[in-house]
Amino acid sequence: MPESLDPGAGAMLQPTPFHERTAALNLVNAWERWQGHTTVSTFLSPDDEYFATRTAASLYDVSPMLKYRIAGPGAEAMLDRMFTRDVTKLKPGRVLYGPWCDGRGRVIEEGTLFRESADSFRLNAAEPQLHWLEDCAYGFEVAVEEVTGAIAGLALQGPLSKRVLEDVGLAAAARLPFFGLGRFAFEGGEIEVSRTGYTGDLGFELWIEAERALTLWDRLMAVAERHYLRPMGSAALDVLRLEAGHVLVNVEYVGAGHALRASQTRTPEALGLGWAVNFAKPGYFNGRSALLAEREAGGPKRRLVGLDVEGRKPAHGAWLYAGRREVGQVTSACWSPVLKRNIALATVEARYATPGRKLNAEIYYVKEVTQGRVDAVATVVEPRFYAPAHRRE
Amino acid sequence: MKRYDAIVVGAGHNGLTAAAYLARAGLEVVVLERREQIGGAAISEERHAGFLYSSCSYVCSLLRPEIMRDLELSKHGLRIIPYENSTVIARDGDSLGFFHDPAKTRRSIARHSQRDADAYAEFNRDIYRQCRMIRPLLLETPPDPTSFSLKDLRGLRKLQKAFAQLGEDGLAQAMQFWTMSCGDFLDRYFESDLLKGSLAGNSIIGTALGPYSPGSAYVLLHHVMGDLDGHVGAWGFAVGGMGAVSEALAGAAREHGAEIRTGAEVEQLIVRNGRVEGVALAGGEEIRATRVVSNLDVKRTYLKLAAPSDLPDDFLESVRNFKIRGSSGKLNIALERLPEFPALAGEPLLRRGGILISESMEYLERGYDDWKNGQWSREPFLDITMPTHYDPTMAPPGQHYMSVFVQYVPPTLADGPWTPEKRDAFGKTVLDTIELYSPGFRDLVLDCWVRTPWDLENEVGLTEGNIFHGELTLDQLLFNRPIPGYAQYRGPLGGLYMCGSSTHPGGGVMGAPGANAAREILSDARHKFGRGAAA
Amino acid sequence: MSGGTYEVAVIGGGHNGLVAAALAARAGRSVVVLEAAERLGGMATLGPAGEGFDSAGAAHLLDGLSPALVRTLELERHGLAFAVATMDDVALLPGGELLVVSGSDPEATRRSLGRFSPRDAERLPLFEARLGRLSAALAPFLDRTPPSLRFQAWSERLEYLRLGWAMRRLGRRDMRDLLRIIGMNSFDLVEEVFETDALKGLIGFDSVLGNRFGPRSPNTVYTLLQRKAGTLAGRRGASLLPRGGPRALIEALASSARAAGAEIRTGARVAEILVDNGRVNGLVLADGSELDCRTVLSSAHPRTTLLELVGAGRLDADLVRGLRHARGEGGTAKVWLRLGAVPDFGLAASALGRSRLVFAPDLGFLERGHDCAKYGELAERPAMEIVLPGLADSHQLGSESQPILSATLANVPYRLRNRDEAALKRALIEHTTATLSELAPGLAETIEAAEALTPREVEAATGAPGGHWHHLETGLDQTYLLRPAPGLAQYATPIQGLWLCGAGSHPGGGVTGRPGANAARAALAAARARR
Repeated sequence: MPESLDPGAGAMLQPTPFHERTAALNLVNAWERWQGHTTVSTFLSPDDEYFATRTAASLYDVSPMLKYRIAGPGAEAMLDRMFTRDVTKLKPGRVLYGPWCDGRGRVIEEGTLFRESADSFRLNAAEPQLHWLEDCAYGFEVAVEEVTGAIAGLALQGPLSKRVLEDVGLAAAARLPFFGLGRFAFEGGEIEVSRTGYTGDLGFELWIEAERALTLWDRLMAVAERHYLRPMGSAALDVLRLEAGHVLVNVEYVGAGHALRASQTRTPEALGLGWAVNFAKPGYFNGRSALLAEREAGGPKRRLVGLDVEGRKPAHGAWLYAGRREVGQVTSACWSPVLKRNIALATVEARYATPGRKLNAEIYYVKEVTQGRVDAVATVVEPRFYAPAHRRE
Repeated sequence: MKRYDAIVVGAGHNGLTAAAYLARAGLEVVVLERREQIGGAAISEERHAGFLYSSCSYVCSLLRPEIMRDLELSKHGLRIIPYENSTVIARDGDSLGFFHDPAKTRRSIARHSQRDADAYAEFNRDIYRQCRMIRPLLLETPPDPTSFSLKDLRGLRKLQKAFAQLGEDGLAQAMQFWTMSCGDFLDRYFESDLLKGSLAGNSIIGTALGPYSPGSAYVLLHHVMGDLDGHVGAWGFAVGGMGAVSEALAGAAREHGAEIRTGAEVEQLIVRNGRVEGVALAGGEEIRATRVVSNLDVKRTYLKLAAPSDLPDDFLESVRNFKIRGSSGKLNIALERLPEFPALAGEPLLRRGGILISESMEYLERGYDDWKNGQWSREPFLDITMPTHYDPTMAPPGQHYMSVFVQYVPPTLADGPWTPEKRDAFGKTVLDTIELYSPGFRDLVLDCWVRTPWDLENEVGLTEGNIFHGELTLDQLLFNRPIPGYAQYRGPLGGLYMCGSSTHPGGGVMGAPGANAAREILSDARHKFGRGAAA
Repeated sequence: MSGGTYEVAVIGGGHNGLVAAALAARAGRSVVVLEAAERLGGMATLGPAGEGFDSAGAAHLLDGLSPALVRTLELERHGLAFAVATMDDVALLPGGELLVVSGSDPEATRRSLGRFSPRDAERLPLFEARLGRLSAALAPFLDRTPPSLRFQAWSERLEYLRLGWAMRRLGRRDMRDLLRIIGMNSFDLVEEVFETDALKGLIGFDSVLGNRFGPRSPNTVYTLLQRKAGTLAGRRGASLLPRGGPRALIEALASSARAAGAEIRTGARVAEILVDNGRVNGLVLADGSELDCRTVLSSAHPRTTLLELVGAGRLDADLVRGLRHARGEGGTAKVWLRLGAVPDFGLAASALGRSRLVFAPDLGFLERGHDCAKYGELAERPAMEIVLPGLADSHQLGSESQPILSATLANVPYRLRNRDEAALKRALIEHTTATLSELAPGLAETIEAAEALTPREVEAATGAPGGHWHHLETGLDQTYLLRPAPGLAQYATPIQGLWLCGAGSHPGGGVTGRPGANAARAALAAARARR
């Protein structure tokens, strides 16, 4: 067909470096978009992929994750000013997770920061940050570069992930401590491995030049049968991250850089990340004055909590009541297959956020072609629903 | 002799909107149109066999959904198709596309600057924040800040609330946004010339401001605050051309009993004891009515239709000082087939939307300098659309209608008024410009209808050819539009109302001035004695 | 090394710094002024380096000095005097014609303007009165701290009410007028009223001088109103020629400050503002000495103060962004000529000494000059304001035999496109000389020495990035509660004890002393409240 007559002509969305392989394995043709990339939502069955992660190991393509290299003599100071945690205490070969805020103390995003060397860091984020990073870099001797396309990432998660690494010649990487980071020889080149993940389970993330992505995939998949290692899509991941109590940008909150309404933004404390705000660190950080003021005023008005919901209907978007008073709303909900419990994350008014508090959830669900409604008791709990000890071992 | 409840002078889209609302409320309404065809600047004309031109306005976004629903415009044949993309093309063969999908837009911008691609999301957020504030005000009568009446105080409170809900950051941003230049505003976010050029294009369409003139940032907003099918900022083509909008409005008006007369030029108002009692037509015929609603701009209404002796001097002075500046031209082109744009070879889909020629802000600013010096831009800003991609019935099969909006074109030239020769020379400048981006383009042209501000003034009745019935600068917005103290659709003459784009919220095929005016008229009609002038 | 202990340290010995210091000292604080240069005066007294130009200073006229300050600080007792109290505005026109708009003699204005247009001669006094009324409503706010956009504190709500009341009190007609024209450009406003090109050019010139504006730039009516609100006598053309030049004013301010007990140090460059837990904790000078103080008033450019002396890393990045976005590239330059004879502008030497000559023959001329500057070019014939201070003031060098001509050029590019600074300097002198030779025949032959001062030289000499006369442009988007940037308009900074007291703060530049005075008042009030 001549191009000019093809109504859909034009450049397609970007494939990830693993696309050739993931496409071949995507037996149900279930795709999802992630930052302009084509990624797999389900390869075959979300349950299978989920249980592989909880009992053995899985592979999840995290290449679309936005990656920035921040390097230079001022990099540590710049990032220390940007993050609410103390970056000066982060040693080379370690990873830090935490939020960064705007001047009003509202979370722009949270993510992992790799200290690759004394003067070089890598930031991983779900949403574009270059503009903000450049603002933060002003006045510091530092260069910021986006390296998203150059680096392919693969999350290897699950209790058996150490064995998988050992089996592909990365035994040294398997010995990385929790939140450790290192570079290792691999298949005639190098690979960067971090002991991090989004599943709340034992796991690693493997980072390699985009051109060598398929080598990595093939090497791992060659041992897949021996370890019940499964490629995983985002559907299963969503359940895993909720069980782990990880917040998700644009679900639990809107990043301060993108929110139209200030009311959709959250401070770290409100997201349950108060532990990550270090007022005692010597350097100033973005939002410090505002967060200090919030603390002095008695903390945020609303907080993120975990909910243990009775019954089996996932409480997607449910309104929460204390008596007749509406006090909050569920942001994420699912049935937890490993806990056999109905769990949820919700934002509720601060005075209803104490663990043990019982609220009433008004849950709507689709019953074939009609809407059903059920009222369920929801008990406030710590949001970390599933945290096996082996994840740190 | 028959006495109408209301005469609407001018069957432009706002006049028709007002007429439809008034008739719907039970008033006996007659619309008087000078030309043989209704629609004013929202009109479709067959000038070349088989081709239907949207000869003036050419795309639709601002038409308020409330009006479409109230007047059941869909029943009267209106269909607006949102177009997917817009793009800016550069002489060096590069391009930058804006897609419905943000990820695709991001990738397109990232080819020019990774940083800009990120900043674009933030820019959009900031613009939409302002949109959210301004949109609810479009269908409101601007309050008079000098008045202590309950209605005005309520209006001011509403205005204040709209601003206050922005919060401290948003408010500071709003204040800057309303006063700064589009150029300075864009420089805060972006570095890519092509990106800034394309976004700045929105801030200069129809206005006699350069991208670095303070106040131009607001005009940017005026072009993105519309919505189609719930998508803020989306633009679309009306099936059958922009005349279809007017036809649908006329259909609604007629359905409710309004009479529409064409070829009826109103020459003057009949005024007695400070009250308008009717109009006199060019042929001498007199038509009586309780009230007259003028769809003409404020200058034509008060300087041409009314007699100076009936009006206060300072009011007349303010009317004379109202700024209506012609700055745009238009080419309607019939094409033998689709032109090739090498810059779009990789993304041919982009041809279906708006194609901008706007290399950089300096390109625009220099174009504006030409205008200031009484010349058309030697390298003009162009907004090119080919609605036949979506509505093939507007041209014979395989052939295409191309609409080219041109900025800046002065209403009179430094060396004297427009002449047919100068019009041809202007048309040639535009065609030559397109040829630079689409080699071989000229050979495809079957017909080219060039319209200068002079033509727009003399054929359509747009003073100086200004598409907005008056500049959209801070001194002519909200309660300042068109005249401070007379922003509530009424003037000093009892029974005379304005419903054209000279009134709040201004130009564009929006219908809001017509709807707002009708609301005010009906509110007066309910008070038995009327309020006369609002002053 | 200890540099001493003070309650208040003022950074910068320009007029705003000295005003702040004098007020703080009068309130009984121990005060030190730290000026980096060897001389006081900052931008106002920047002068040519060449010989025989001794007393020339950039601010050759004072048209906005706060009269209240003159009284409070007893500046007249400390030596401030005016050689000419009201200057005449004289529009120079090609072909030798002159339009005189007298500051003191309305009849003279009427006669002169009447020759061009009797209608305009009628209208000018009305126009003056109209702008006078409108600017009078704004004037009180020049001496008050702008409210923030938080709408929380009662004092701030009250300030908004006060603002609203000031508008309402204008009456319906004037209020409408103000709300309409405040955002307009001077081109439209002046075209609405007048028909004489020379007069339009003259008014247009006042609306663009100092900023990078053309008369068609909206906001220029605002700058006109602000300029008017700030004038000493509230009359048009109330440009004052200080006896002894701008340096005399600085000396009077310094003397007033010293008399109240302030210490003034020159050659004392501040290298860093020490901050501890969000509070000022002293200063470090370039020589390494440390000064102990808890309150710092900085008249340096807001960017210098916050981004360099405090450091971007100690502030929120969004605030840093706001400051970086504030526009302040200089668009004004000076040229001084030492002449061998009184130039022939068609005025007698005595009249010439009392005149502020303006070359801006029409609005289109001004706009084209602005267009040139936009693209990094200098107009062939730049618009300028000219004063010959020595003719009326024996305290200034330059006399009838060797007058010094001081020209202030509008719409100068910050840098010439593709050319260096030396080229700009050359062009400034050449274009000025060529322009003046056409207006005053024979002038070129009498030039004995010529000097120029570019925006970038101002930047280098004072450290103000951009070298803008007002530190930051005074358009509506950078004025009042948005000046210098949102969140910083109350003179206070996020660093407790650090205050901005320079031209970058409300109400902006010009030799007014108002930012210094307002900031000092705010700082003193805050200190009192803490006690």
